Amino acid sequence: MPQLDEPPTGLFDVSREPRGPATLKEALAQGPPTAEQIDAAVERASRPRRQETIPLPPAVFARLCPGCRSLDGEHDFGPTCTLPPPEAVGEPEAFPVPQHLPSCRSDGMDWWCEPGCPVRDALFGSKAGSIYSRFLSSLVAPGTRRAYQGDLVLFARWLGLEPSAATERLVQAGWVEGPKLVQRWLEELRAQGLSTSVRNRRLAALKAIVKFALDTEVCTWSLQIAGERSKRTALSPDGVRYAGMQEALAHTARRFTQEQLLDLLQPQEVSCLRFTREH
Amino acid sequence: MSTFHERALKHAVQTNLSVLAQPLQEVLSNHEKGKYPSWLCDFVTQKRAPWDLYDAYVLLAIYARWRLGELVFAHVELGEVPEADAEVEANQRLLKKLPPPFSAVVDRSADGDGILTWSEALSEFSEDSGEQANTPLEIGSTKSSRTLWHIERSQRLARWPYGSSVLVVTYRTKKFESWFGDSKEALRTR
Repeated sequence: MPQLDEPPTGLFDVSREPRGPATLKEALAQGPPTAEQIDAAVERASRPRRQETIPLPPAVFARLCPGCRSLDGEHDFGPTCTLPPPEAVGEPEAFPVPQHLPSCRSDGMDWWCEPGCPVRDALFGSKAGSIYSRFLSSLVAPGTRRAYQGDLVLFARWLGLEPSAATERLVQAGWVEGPKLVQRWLEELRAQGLSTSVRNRRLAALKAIVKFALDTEVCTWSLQIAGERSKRTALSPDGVRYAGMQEALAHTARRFTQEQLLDLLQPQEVSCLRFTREH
Repeated sequence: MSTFHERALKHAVQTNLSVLAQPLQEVLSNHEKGKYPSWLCDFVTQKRAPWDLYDAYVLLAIYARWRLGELVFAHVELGEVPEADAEVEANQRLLKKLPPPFSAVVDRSADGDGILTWSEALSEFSEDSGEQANTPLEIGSTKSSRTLWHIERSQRLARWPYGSSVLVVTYRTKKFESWFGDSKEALRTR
């Protein structure tokens, strides 16, 4: 039981406003309240009391319509609601369905689309036209980028096209016509008297861009033309010709017949000279 | 990444497998049974992995030449085993104990781990007529392709394998024609 001389524990008003007697002893000492005290108490009671506000998570606020104070899906579309009434919105606009070009072919399940087909562009994006710039921007090494760009520009000049158009033509040529086109380009380079390494690098540029197109689903083929072997003889680190080294190491194999080797390999006691300090 | 001479050795063996297949199988079998002296195997190569066809080919090439008398082996007693081949100063200090007429310089920038020199002819079979001669020195483990390349190119090689207190030196003999003429005739080249 709470003592009369002590304030009661539990719920009590924490406001700083003047209040009535805290204890029964004080109330008895004060006597009945005056008219001013009663008016002041009524006025205090009519004032909004201080309330503890609990912050709600942002997601809860986000779903509340600030106008009609409704959650999503329960708007009243009244004059304070932030959403316009449904009748003001009208019917949703129909999504334009892309159609294949008349020249695109299908077997009933898969489609083989022509360049510029809206369906293909909608599915994969219109990538073919920009394959040249996207390929060059995908190259990290500046030296490689510069070299490949030069090679592609020369290839385009040979075709009489802009680089992007030449790239488009190569990529769209397909796995039958594409290699033939590149072979003609290589023959032209050979006729110009360019070295094997230069021809191989120009071929590598074309192979790289077709592979890039394959990786980015612009085409479905890759250029399978092997580079030519350089006729320049490789040298070992100590300046020996690699072919000469192969020849030297194959000396035993070429010198003897199989029967002679089988006879020579029979283990025998290997005699050897000995050198010691006392020698 | 294989080295230059490793690739050359692989090519040499693979392009002559029709002749080499059975002899190499025989060499590998003999090697597994320990029929070849361990110092000769260490001379060819020191590797943890089992021997392959290429190691066997190098042993066959060296062994065949020794059988024909084209190569001579010499054991140089040193009494010290080598340190790691990167320990240049330590190995140089140990090689000062070489018996005369040998001396060695450890130099990893050279063709090999160093150079072994002798100041007089090692035997009457030696190609060197009393003049100073030298040979590449390979310390510790080495690849068989490198061993054969040294022998094919300079016709001599010194090896100081790990765990060995003996340097093994091989060199080409001088009097091959007169001493081994019959053998050479019997083993008529293809």
